[in-house]
Amino acid sequence: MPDMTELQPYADVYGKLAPLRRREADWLRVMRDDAMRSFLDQGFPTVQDEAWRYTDLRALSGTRFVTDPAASRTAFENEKSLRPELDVDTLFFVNGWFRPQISDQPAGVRVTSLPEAGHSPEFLETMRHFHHFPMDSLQELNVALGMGGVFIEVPDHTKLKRPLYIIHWSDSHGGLCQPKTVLRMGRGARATIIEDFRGAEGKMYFTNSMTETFLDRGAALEHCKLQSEDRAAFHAAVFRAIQTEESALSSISLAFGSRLARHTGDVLFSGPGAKCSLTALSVGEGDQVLDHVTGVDHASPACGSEQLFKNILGGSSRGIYTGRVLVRRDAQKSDAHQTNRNLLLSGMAKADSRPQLEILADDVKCSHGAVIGQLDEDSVFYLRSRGIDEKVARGILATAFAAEILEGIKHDGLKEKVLHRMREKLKRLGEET
Amino acid sequence: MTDPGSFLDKEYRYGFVTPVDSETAPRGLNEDIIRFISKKKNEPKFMLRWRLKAYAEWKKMKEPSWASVQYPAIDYQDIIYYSAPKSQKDGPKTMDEVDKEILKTYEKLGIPLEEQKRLAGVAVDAVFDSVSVATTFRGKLKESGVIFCPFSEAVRTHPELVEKYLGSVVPVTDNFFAALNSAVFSDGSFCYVPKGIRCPMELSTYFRINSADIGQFERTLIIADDDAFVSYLEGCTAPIRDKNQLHAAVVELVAHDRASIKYSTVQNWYAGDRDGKGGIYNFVTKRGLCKGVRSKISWTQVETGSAITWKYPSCILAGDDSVGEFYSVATVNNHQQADTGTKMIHLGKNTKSTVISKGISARFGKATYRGLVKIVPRAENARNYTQCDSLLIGDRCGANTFPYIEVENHSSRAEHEATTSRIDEDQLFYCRQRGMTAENAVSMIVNGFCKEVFRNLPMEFAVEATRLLGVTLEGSVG
Repeated sequence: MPDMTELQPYADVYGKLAPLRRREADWLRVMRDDAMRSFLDQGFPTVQDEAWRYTDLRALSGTRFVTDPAASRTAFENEKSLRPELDVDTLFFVNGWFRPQISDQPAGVRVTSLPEAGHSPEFLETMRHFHHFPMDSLQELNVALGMGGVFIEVPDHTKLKRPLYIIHWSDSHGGLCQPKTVLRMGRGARATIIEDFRGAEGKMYFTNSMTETFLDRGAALEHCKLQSEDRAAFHAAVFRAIQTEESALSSISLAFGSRLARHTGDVLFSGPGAKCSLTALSVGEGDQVLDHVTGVDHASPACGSEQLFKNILGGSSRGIYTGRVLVRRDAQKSDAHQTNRNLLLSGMAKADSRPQLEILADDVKCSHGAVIGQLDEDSVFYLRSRGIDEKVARGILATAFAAEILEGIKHDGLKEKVLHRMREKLKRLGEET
Repeated sequence: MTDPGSFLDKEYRYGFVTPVDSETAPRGLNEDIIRFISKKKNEPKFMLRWRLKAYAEWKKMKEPSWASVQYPAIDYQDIIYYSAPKSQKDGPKTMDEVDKEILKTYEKLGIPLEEQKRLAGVAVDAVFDSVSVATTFRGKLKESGVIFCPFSEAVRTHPELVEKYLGSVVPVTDNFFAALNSAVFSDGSFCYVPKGIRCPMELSTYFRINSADIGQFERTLIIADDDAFVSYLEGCTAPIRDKNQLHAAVVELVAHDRASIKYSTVQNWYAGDRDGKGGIYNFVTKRGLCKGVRSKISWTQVETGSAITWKYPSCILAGDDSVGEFYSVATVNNHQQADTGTKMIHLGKNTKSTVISKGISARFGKATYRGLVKIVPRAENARNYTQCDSLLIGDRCGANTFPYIEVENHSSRAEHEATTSRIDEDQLFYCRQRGMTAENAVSMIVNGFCKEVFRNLPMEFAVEATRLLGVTLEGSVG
């Protein structure tokens, strides 16, 4: 039974948000009511739940986080300093609320903030598809309380010239930030979106984000998520994609920050010939817990999925990978591969890996592999024999290990930015060990 | 091929019933039944206490539901927990005293005890329904100091060993089926190999369920003392019946310093008919404890029978430098379901484990590999290698792979690899264009797929396993 004293603050916030909900479409209100009820019934996941076996949320569930509607209007000054110095269109979320005033209006794309989008038939049509995915209670919480979101439509055959850069900034102590991004890619549309999660130093907040994308026939999406939250913060995010025929997706998740983070990537192939690539890199220090979960549902034949998840773990950090590939009956000619590689840099670090295949069709090529190990001592020796000191040598090898993931970032400016953040992180790791 | 699963088809050759009068306990389970069993077996007091404790624990437990298998609820009060061939009451002193009918049964099974007597090689302890019928070669084993006898006898003749080791690897509280087994187990095999002894022959147990409606609960306990070695084989069959029968066995292995135990199973319980009617529910707990330094436990299993298999032969690698191995072939055809795998728990330093698992699914069969590799912080320099491959034959079958890998120190290394695919068209084509029939080609490819595991079986079993898997193509020309 869930602990009601833990959940009461959320029920209270839900009551407080009632006036905002009244402005929304009926179907959205029903959906939120159902989700809230479901969240209160289940409570926060515990380690007894098989899916959360390695990720202990007690520190999170014991803290009271609140969503304050007033936070959606407060002044926000450091907008300029947060803007990426890249050739991109920027959208701002502050404490989980979308801020259209300070966001760019990208050309060729329709960007609508959520309460408004709720009344559009396109939004309803898009949201209908996502019922397919199973929900855990954190996702229910987002559906119930995530008021500040954005609906982005990329029309048919539109190719976005510049990436969409979505900044999620959090600075409210004890804040529950629940951004929601819904993206609809029209037929043959092409786009790159970057989600960048950051927060003010020392603030303990909880980001519970949801990004849902629908790829119409032949659409191609590149998605890159940077998680550099403050080390005091909690982070949970789900990225979902429905891929119809011949669509292509590449999603990269980079987990550097927060004390406990979980990224869930769910993909459904609803039409034949779709392809997806899910990759991730976690770099853990101190007592960080960095968790990645994936679920790829091959519901249509002739689709291909590729997963590569890497963890570099120092301090007493913990890296977790749970990947599920389901190939349904008659989804012949499926191609699915999962790889999870873990590098343990210190004696206290832990890695848990659960790659899972469920195959119900026979004409398939499916495989998975997982390795948990350490740097190759021969390689370290080689570098040292060339006059490189040990710390630097280990740094070089760890960077090389990570490079495979970063290579996947096609935008040069972004790649440089990520590389910089990773080097900083690895440097701290090197000093720690 | 018209029906790709047909190559695995085989008439179940062991589906006969032997008309032997048997003495059975009434249906159902309560403390009185346990007392009845204990009394029948003439057991010392500690055994009854232990059973009753297990029963009390079992009543508190819930049947596990996490495995990827589906079956109707089992009514545990509708099972007969004890059945013994009547004429066996006084126990055979020599082979000649064994019931002729029973001996005939074993002949049909292909393990004529008489012949075993002459052919030096395997010492057999045969368990018929719930009691141990005969143990061959006891004299010869005794010479070398090896104790190999039915469990019920060991309880009387070596109570101190039984009391010391029983439940030390699989405690009564371990899981639902192990607790049930602990409460009602009727017989099984016991083996103790003393210090420094290399067991002079392969030991073997043959299990058979004969009576209807009975559950078979056998218990096997093998102890290899310092520097000892033993190789143990286990085989199982049951008659064809429409109703599902329960088999919940527990096997415990203990290996002391530098000891080595090799445990091989060819499991060929009745699997049910083509529509999935009948068959054995095989819910087994097998675990080995590598207690001493440099000890080794190796599991090899060939799972071809049973309607449902639910078993995870595991190794607890407690001693430094100890080694655990698991080699498995699991075949599911028609409506069979198998959820099997292993646990390798690395506790000692420099421990090593190897897991090779091959799953073959045909028609509506569903095979699941579920495994855990756990390396705790103090298990420095531990090493694991896991490979599990699945072969799919037909588009209605399924294969799941659920490994769990947990590494908690940074000097250890764990590797896992798995693939799922069907038989390679090119390989098939190559064989066909060399003039092989489709069945022969499939059979050869499947045998090749399993070779790594068969190689680890003792000779006699390797032959049987290969035959079980491959030669049964007769009458299934596609």
